[in-house]
Amino acid sequence: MIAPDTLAYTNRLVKTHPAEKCLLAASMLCLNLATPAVMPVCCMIFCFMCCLTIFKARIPAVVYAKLLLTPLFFLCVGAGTVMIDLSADHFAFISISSQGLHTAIIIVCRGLGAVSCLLFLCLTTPVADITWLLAKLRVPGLLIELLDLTYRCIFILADSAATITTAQASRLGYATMNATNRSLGTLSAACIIRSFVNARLMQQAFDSRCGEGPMRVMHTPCPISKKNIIAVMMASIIIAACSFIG
Amino acid sequence: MSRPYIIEAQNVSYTYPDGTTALSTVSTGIKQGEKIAVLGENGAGKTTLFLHFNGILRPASGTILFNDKTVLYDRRSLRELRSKIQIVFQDPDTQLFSARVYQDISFGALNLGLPQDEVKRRVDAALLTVDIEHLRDKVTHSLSHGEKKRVAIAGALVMNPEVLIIDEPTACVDPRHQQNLLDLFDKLNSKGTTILLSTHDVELAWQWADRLIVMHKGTIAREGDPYTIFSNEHLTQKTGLCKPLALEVFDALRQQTSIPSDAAPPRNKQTLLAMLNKKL
Ligand SMILES: Nc1ncnc2c1ncn2[C@@H]1O[C@H](COP(=O)(O)OP(=O)(O)O)[C@@H](O)[C@H]1O
Ligand SMILES: [Mg+2]
Repeated sequence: MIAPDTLAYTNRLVKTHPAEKCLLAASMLCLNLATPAVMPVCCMIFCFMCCLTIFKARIPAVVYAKLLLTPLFFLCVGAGTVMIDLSADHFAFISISSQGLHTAIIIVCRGLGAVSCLLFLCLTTPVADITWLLAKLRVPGLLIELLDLTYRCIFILADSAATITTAQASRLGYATMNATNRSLGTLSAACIIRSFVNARLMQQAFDSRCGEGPMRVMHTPCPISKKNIIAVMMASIIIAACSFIG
Repeated sequence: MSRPYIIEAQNVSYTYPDGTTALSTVSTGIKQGEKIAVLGENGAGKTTLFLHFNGILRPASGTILFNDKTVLYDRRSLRELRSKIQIVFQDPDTQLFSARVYQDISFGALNLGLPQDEVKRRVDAALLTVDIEHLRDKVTHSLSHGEKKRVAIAGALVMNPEVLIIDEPTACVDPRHQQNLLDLFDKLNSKGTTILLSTHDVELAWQWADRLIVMHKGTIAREGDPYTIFSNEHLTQKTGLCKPLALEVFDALRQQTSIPSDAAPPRNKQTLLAMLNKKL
């Protein structure tokens, strides 16, 4: 499966200004969480964001569906628990109340709507663009640097974790239950030690390139398109109106 | 050799916090325009010496001189030192900390406080020099090892350094890319940049360097021109270096056939082959 991160850099909306995409995702998310007419509006938002991601940004539908599976699983577990009523004074010990069913549907709808907004943002906007936008929004530099470095280090750490796991497996590190436990233990220890070593080496490279204080990098953003902003506003207004009608 | 040293170490010793003595009374220097290879086994102290040259590490005793002045370790002096002396580290992953190639290369230039257009101009020039213009919009972590290495070099070049120090440039790089890197270093050197690299590859050192510094267990075992160094059997044995193949063949030929004693030893395979073809 293609890593979602790669898609963020290669999708058709990558050249769209990050502010437009964030605005759309944020306003849809707010509407999704605030609307009183949960069923119709959240479904609308879900479909809208889904279509936008798949048809406009050209994210492969299969990948999208796979990415949707994980949150969907958790949503179903959560909804299932809410739905089931455990009580002794009913005729059956386990029952489903209509109240519970209603809550469960609301949870799933709101949840799916929110997930579609986040997936849209994650799959169309590279992290570098998001950090740039955060900087423009005057978010403290320290937080942005942390975000940027964490993001970069995830890949380095994932790489070394993968290498270590392979090395362990090739020496039968996962052959038995006991060995698996031991291997997982050493793996996490090794990852922590590596993180410290990497942190030191990165600091050296940072100092060596005269890094001091905030991490400055160049960014060449594309211009904001008025058309897109208006489209985002229109979509939000239409959905907000539906909330009231519905 | 009357040119002054750009950067010089005088009796530098350094011990890591865990008690490992990595350098003991090391004295050596780099002159303008040189092509130097620092040769030594793993753990000989090459990286540690390099980290002293741009003020990342501070000698426990001894001094580092930059343009004949003792290096001070306050912010301004370090900044000046590091803008002239750039290190490309061995592991490009720890050097590239931005998500995108273009951003990462611009990092050093922005730290120099240059105006935006100048930064842009320098980044473009560096991309061109290192021949990675096609990578400018790529994500750092999706690059191959060799590409990362080039991006790291470009990131150092935007500072317009006088001395470019490259730690183990050819480790984990295939032969063709190795040659490309060496050609790149030659190109930079011909434009006036002094190049200092470390390696444990004797063939590479023999083929490329004008001067060798041989390190052994935290000391400088010998420095000098490659031919003198590699002809010193005692030295090569002590420091665990083997003779470059071309030189070995040349020496054997010289004992058996009548190669004039003033013939220059072949620095690479092609010259050696030409010599053989002429003789046999
Ligand atoms: N951060 C460190 N902490 C402790 N010892 C170190 C550290 N870095 C290097 N050393 C030790 O210092 C010696 C010289 O290392 P280094 O300069 O990296 O050698 P080289 O680059 O020639 O392989 C080695 O014995 C090494 O184990
Ligand atoms: Mg080293």
